[in-house]
Amino acid sequence: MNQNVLTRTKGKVVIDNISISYSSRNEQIYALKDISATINPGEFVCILGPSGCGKSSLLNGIAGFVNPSNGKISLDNKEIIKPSPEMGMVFQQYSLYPWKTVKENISFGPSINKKGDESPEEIAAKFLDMIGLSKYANHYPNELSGGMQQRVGIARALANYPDVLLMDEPFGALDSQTRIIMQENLLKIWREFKITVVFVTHDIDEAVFLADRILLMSTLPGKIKRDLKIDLPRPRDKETTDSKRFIELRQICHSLIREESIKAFEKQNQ
Amino acid sequence: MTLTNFSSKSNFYFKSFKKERLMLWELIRINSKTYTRKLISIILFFLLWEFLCWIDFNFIINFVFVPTPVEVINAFIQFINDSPWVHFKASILRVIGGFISGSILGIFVGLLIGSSKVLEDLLATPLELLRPIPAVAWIPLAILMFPDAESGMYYITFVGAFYPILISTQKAVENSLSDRLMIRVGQSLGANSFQLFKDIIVPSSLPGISAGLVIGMGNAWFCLVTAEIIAGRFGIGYKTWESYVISEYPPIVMGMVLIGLMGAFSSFVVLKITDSFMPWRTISKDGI
Repeated sequence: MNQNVLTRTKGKVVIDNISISYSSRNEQIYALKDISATINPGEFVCILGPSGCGKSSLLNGIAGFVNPSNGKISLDNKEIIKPSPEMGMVFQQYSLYPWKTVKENISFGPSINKKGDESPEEIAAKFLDMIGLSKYANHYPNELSGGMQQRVGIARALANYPDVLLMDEPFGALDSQTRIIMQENLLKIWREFKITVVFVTHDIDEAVFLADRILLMSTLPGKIKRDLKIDLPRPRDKETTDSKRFIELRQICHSLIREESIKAFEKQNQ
Repeated sequence: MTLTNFSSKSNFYFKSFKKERLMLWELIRINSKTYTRKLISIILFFLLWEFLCWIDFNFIINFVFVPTPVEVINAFIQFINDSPWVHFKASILRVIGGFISGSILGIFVGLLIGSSKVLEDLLATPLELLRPIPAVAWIPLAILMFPDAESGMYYITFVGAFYPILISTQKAVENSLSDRLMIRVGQSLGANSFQLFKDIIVPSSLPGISAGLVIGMGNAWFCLVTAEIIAGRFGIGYKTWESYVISEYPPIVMGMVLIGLMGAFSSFVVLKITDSFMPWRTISKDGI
């Protein structure tokens, strides 16, 4: 397993001095300004910040949905200009296709980018087994609970065997009990796949629990304020959240975020 | 590499099985209620009609010359005894022919102008100019433009079916295209434009297209009387119009009722067929 971590070379994301702007009423507004960061292969990175800090814009930039106005983002030295199956995306809302069964949702990606020997059906069956929903293979998404739907969403993104998994507040709509279980399961999946994960959230506990590194963002315009290494031992579980170090790290994030939230709040009210 | 226990699997299976049986029972119970209500409403409707004729109701609306339900039933019995199948067959063929050609062309053109700005600019304006023209107004041209009366009649029912199907398809496609999340999901999974169209835009437009087909089927029947004015000796619409010309009132109402019944039935069939393409949909009206 350790060897695998060492040999993992794909899934390196380099964000090179990018800005993302949009125009609103003839005014150029920067969602992000002059951001640089390197995300290493197999790393679990959380982007943490108050709402409106441009963290989703950054993720959309990495996904290739939005192109930066200057600078560039690259995956394994290849510039990202459009979405590609090398990067799996898990969205905030439940975004399963309602007209496809659970199994068809998962096999959709593999069926349109055939690679390897496994058939799309085999891949779907394998991932359904992994998320523990094999019994629901032929159910439609609206027959599943929110947590189950989001598990299928993760399986669907992984079914293309991407190098990077991008997640945009994926557990935001779940109740806190389900969310904790989902977080623990996500870490298991991550260990299994040794995949690079970029996880956007505004939940401090979630970020500290999951990440190797937290990129703390400031608001208006969005910048990376602090690149915080999370040195909590792995595997992490319920006990982790009670440890002294966890509480310390949470404290650090908390004070930084609070500063930003107040700044953003005041700026909006000017 | 199964991830552990979100819940015991056998327990899940048992629960869903039990739930399904319960739902089936509920379904029968609820439906028997709605069927009773529907039956009562139909009986009340006929009683009210008979009553208004019986008292010779005449205030703004005049019921003096309106045939009673009993007279209409008698006219129907006479019609049934007098080789009715040629009439049914002629009318059904005209409606089905117009509906099928209207569906094929309406869905095809609707998909095109719904998904392409260029094609919309090129096609939508003339189609929009022709749309408000009522079927009756097409009669003279239908006679002049088509080689025989039969194809002219097909054209009239086609016009009725085509437009609702066209507009619903176009609007449904435009709606699906503006659902950015669905498109982004497809792009991030690696779908190209054709796959996005086939696997995402078309299925998510199906509910809208289905509504268009149901209205289109109704409209084809709507236009039947108009179509059968053109010529001919057969058809339910022709029978209705002929009775009016010779001032025989009960068969008029009988024709109207027959067209209503057959229109409602065929719309129901279309609805059921299109629903079978969308097994994922669950419609609940309890939320309001």
